[in-house]
Amino acid sequence: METTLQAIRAPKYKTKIVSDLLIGNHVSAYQLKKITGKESIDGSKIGYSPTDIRRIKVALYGIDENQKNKNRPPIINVRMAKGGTGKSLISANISSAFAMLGYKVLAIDGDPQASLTNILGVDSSAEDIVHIGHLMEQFDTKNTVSIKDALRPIYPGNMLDLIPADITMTQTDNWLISRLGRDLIFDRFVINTPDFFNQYDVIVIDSAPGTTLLSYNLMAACKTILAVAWLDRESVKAMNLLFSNIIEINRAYPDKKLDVEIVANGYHPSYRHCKEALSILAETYKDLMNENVIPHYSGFVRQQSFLTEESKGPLIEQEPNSVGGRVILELAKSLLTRYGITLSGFDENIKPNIR
Amino acid sequence: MKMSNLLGSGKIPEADQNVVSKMPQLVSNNPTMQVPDAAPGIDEVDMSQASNTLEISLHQIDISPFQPRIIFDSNELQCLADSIALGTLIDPITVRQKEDGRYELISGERRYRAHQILGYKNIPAVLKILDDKQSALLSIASNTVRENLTDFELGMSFKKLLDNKYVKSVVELARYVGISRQQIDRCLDFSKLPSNVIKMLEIQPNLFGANCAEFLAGYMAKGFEDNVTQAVDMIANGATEQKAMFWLKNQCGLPIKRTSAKKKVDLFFKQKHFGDAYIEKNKVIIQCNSDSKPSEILKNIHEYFSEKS
Repeated sequence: METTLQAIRAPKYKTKIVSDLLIGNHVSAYQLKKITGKESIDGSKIGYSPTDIRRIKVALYGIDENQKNKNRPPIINVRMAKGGTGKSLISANISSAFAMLGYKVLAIDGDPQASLTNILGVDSSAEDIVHIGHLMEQFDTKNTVSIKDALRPIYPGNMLDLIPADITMTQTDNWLISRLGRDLIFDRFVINTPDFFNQYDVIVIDSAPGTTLLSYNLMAACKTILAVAWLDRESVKAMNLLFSNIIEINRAYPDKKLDVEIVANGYHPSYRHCKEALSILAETYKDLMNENVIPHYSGFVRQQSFLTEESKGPLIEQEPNSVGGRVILELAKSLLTRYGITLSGFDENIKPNIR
Repeated sequence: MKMSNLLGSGKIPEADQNVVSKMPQLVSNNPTMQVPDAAPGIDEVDMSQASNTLEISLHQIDISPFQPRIIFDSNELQCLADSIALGTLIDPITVRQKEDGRYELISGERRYRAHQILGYKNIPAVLKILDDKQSALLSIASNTVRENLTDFELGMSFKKLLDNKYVKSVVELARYVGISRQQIDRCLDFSKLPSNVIKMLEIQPNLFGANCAEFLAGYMAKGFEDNVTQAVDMIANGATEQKAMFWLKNQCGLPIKRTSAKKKVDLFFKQKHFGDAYIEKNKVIIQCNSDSKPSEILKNIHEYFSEKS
């Protein structure tokens, strides 16, 4: 019996947001309506879903959507050696932002705490979860991998899919330890499953803070790590650990040439330590810092679902026009260029803000 | 919110240069930075600083006590020596300096022996700065990865490592050498075999594999030491591992045979031997000869007991 899971949410964006924020060239509301074939019957406002936005971009740029992606999509591994710096927040929001921008996104939760899973709206405590550790184990020991069982559609039309996690992921390290070439199992899994992974434009991974074999696997598969630094002294210290991880991987696999992109998170104008930490980061890592600084914004707190509530989704989905939402969108756009993310092979060529 | 705007606004203080100078960098290797490594013992220390190639006199080199290899094929050694004689050694051997100033060989014992055969005085070597633990792990790890060591040689070197407390547990060892925990356990079972068997193995390490060792060790634990030795003798005399294991299983698996080896009592009736009797647990078993009739014997026994009572 084959049942297709229903997408959890279907966000719609207003015409103004779509034409102003999401599409660089000036596009009139009339053009938008024409391309998507939407009509408002009773004068109510039209909402555009991520699938619609993708369709608009495909039409505007003349992209051949049937063209199969031959290369594997860029992997954004959101990682920091310290917990509580906003990894899950950033990964949930940029995944949602990429989908908003019309890109097909695969989000992978690599953290047993399952915060990304929860923010995106899957209840990891109540449902049967097949997580990425299971898939890697199936890939390494058996021939068939049941990705279908693991995959949870978040937005319709495969715009945002999630491979969730739950607490049982802590056991993944137990079998990884005895495998041959255990650092690169995830890498091999992605390379050898092109039919599945190559249908996406970008893969976003939320990693656990600790240095585990699983987080090594996830790190070794990507090209550039997105490090989220909370602006305080502790986080600045944790850089040491993260960098030593990266240097170690680069030493073991010299052709990987792992790189890092740092995003400062939690800037608040009235905290002195924030400013100090920011100045230290900016001074030390001139070339590695992302231009966007995520503010200490109350909207990010609201997006967390409590046990009794249903998740409403990440901030960018709820309030794309808020202060936090705009910064996240800018961050996502800058990452498009940094990671070379393409829309079915088409490079939107959004110019990054140069400092 | 842009970094450049924030920095340009003048609200951000100047960076503390003391902190900035201590921050790690991706490109330059900051020596003060600690690298927490999955395998700190085997980690190749930065080649440019901690090691360099030297010409070392053969007399100054001591063989590592952790060298796992027991036998050296003289043909192979001769081949290696011939190839070295044609040119020079491409791969230098790896040594470390001991406290008394001599060098300890970490990897490359066959190359070293080939140089001895050739009568060379010096050998190119890479000098590494390593402590006891690192050198022990490195000499075993480099050999397990590269060479076809027998299970016995592996098992003995693993035991040395564990006995010296260089690794705390089999799990840790498994991480260092990249062999599964179960396989290490099997290799370690060699050390549980009788001492005369171990002596045989030291002469011929490829006598039997780790699976067989695990099987034999299982019977050792049950107290069948003599039978295990006999089974190993069978293998040494040309029997296959399977045959010996099957024999051992049959030998030790049937408890009746052992009790039957106990005292048997010969039974006579009117000066004529009609069978023998033995005790098994709470039964008295009477085994009749082929020419005597069990029904008559039982009848006689019954009569005997009824007379007594």
